[in-house]
Amino acid sequence: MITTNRLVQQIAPGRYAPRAELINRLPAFLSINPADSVDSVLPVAVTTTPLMLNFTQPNFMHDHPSYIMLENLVFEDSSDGTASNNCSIKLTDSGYNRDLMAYPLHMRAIFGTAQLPGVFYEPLILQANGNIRAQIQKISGGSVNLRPYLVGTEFFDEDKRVVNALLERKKFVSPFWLTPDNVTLISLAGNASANYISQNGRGHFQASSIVAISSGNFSLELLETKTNRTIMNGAISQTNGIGNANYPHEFKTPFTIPRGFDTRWKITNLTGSTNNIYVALAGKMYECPLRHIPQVERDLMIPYDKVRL
Amino acid sequence: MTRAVSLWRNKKTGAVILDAATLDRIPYYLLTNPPNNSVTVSANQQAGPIILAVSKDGPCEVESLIAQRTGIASVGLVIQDGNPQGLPLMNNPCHIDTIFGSGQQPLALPEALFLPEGHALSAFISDLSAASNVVRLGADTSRLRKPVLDPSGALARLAVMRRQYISIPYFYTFDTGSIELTASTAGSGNMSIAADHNFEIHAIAAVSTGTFSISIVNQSTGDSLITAPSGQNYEVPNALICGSNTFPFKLHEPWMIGAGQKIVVSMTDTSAATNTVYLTLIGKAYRTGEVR
Repeated sequence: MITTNRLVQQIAPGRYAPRAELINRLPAFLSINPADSVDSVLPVAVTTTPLMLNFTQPNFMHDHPSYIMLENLVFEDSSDGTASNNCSIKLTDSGYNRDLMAYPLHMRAIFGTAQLPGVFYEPLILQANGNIRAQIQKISGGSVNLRPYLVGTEFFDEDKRVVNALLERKKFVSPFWLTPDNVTLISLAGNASANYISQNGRGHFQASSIVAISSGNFSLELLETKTNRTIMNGAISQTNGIGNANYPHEFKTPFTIPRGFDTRWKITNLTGSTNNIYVALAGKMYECPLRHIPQVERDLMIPYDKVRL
Repeated sequence: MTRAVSLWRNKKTGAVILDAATLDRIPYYLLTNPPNNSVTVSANQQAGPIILAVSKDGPCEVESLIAQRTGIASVGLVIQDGNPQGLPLMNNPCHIDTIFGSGQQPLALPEALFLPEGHALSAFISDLSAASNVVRLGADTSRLRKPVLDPSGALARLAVMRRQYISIPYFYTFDTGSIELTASTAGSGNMSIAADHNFEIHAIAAVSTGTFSISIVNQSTGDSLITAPSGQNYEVPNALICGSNTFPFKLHEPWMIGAGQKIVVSMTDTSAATNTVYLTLIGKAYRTGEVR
C-alpha cells in the first residue's frame, strides 16, 4: 500500500498527492460470518431461543491489519416493505464486552435500508478480528430470510495516529440504545397504560434521537426520576414525536442522562387492541466523569486542557 | 440538528471528562398544556386558544413543528408574549398539513423561534374534515435550563432576547385562506405582505383536493418564481414546486418580498373536478417597525 501511495504521488504530484491517503480507505459492508450463514442470508423463524451470530472484522486485508469504522446499519428481509418482520435484535461489542443496548430492540427501530440507513450515533471502530455479536429472535409472523449488514469505512495501513485516536476515544464513548429495563417486549392491552424504568449505571448516556416500532399508536411520557427532569410538558404520541430507523426523531440538542439516574417511561396504548411496542432513546454512552469545566479548573488551579477526543 | 459535544482531556494526567454544561441544554417537546395534550375539535368548529406554554424552568428555542390529527384542519399560531393581541406567526390560519410535520419528519422552521419563560404559543384549530377531529400539536425545541457555571450562556441569552422579534419564522397563505378552483378552470389568489415586515420565502407546501398548475408572481415588482425562456410566466404542475409538510419544497435561494407588496398566485385546475387549494409559503418575517 505504501508502494501504491508513492506511485500515485509520482504520477500525480502536487495537489493530487494528498488523495493518495484515500487509497488506504474503502467503503465496506460487514456481513454475518460465513460460519453463521450462507451468503449472508439468515433464515429466521419464530422461536423461543434467540439465534446468536457474529459480524467479525477480517484479520488481514491486502497484507495489512484492517480496521473498520461502523456508522450505519442496514437490512433486508424476504418480505421487506412490510412490518411483518417482527424480529428483535441485541448487539454486543464482544471484544470490549460492551452491550450496545440493555435489552433487545425491534430490527426496524435500528436497522434501516439503503436509501435511509440506520445510524450509529458514535462511529464504532473494530480492530482486526473485532467482533459484534448479535442476538436475533423472531417474535411473530412467518419465516423470513434476513440480510443484515453493518456499514462503514475500512482502513488499511491507515496513519497510526488516526487509528490510535479513534481507539482512544472508543475507550470512553460507544453507541448505545437506552431501552426500558427487564422488558423483552412491551405488550399492552387495548388502551392500557404502564410505567417502565431504565436504569443507567454504566455511564453518562446522551440521547440524540428517539425511535420506536409498534403495532399501533401509543403515547409516551419520559421522566428522569432523580431530578424530575423531563423533556416534554405532556405526552407525545408515536405519530407526532417518535421516529424509526429510517427517520429517527432527532433531538434539537442532545439529552444527557448522568450515570446512576433512572428514566421512567409511561407508555399508554392509544388503540383498542393489543399493542406490541419497542421504543428506545438512541445515542452514545460516555464512560468518564461528568464535570463542569470551570469547576475542574478551579479545583486543579490550572486550566483544563481542551483536547477534543 | 444534534450538536457534537466535546469530550475533554487533560494532557498531563490523561484524565477525561464530559463537560457537564451539556446538562444545561436539553431537547424539549413543547406540547399543548396538560391535560389537553390531545384536543378534540367538533365537526366544522373552532377550538382555541390552545396554549403551549413555556414554564419557568428555562426558555425554549422552537426549531420544528409536529402534529398528529385524525382529520384535516387549519391552524393559526400566535406568540403570547404578554402583549394583549399577541404576535401572529401567519397572515391567516394555514392547513395543518402544510405547517406541521410528523414524528418521523418534523417540519423544520427556517429559523429557531426563541420563547422565554412565561411566554407561550397559542393555537386556534378549525376542523375542515366535517367530523370530530382529535389533534395533538407540538413543537420540537431546544431548552436552555438555568446556566449554573456558564456566564456565556447568560450573554447568549441576552443577545437572543434582543433579536427575537427582529426576525421570526412566518407563514403566508391566501388572503382568503383557501382557493376553490372550478373544474378545469383558471383562478388566482393573493397574499398581501403586511406593512410591518419584509417576508423571505424559504419553502413551499400545499394541500389540495386535486392536481393543478401554478405560477407565483410578485405583483409589485413583476418577479416570477417560474420564468419561461420567452420571458413569459408559465404555470407548472403543482407536483413540481408544491411540497408537503414532511418534504416542503425548499427554494434554492430565499425569495425576499418587500413589506406591503402583493404576491399573486395563478392556478388552473387539472383534475377536472372542483379543487380546493391550501398553499403555504414558509419563510421568515423581518420586522421593519418598532421592535418589542
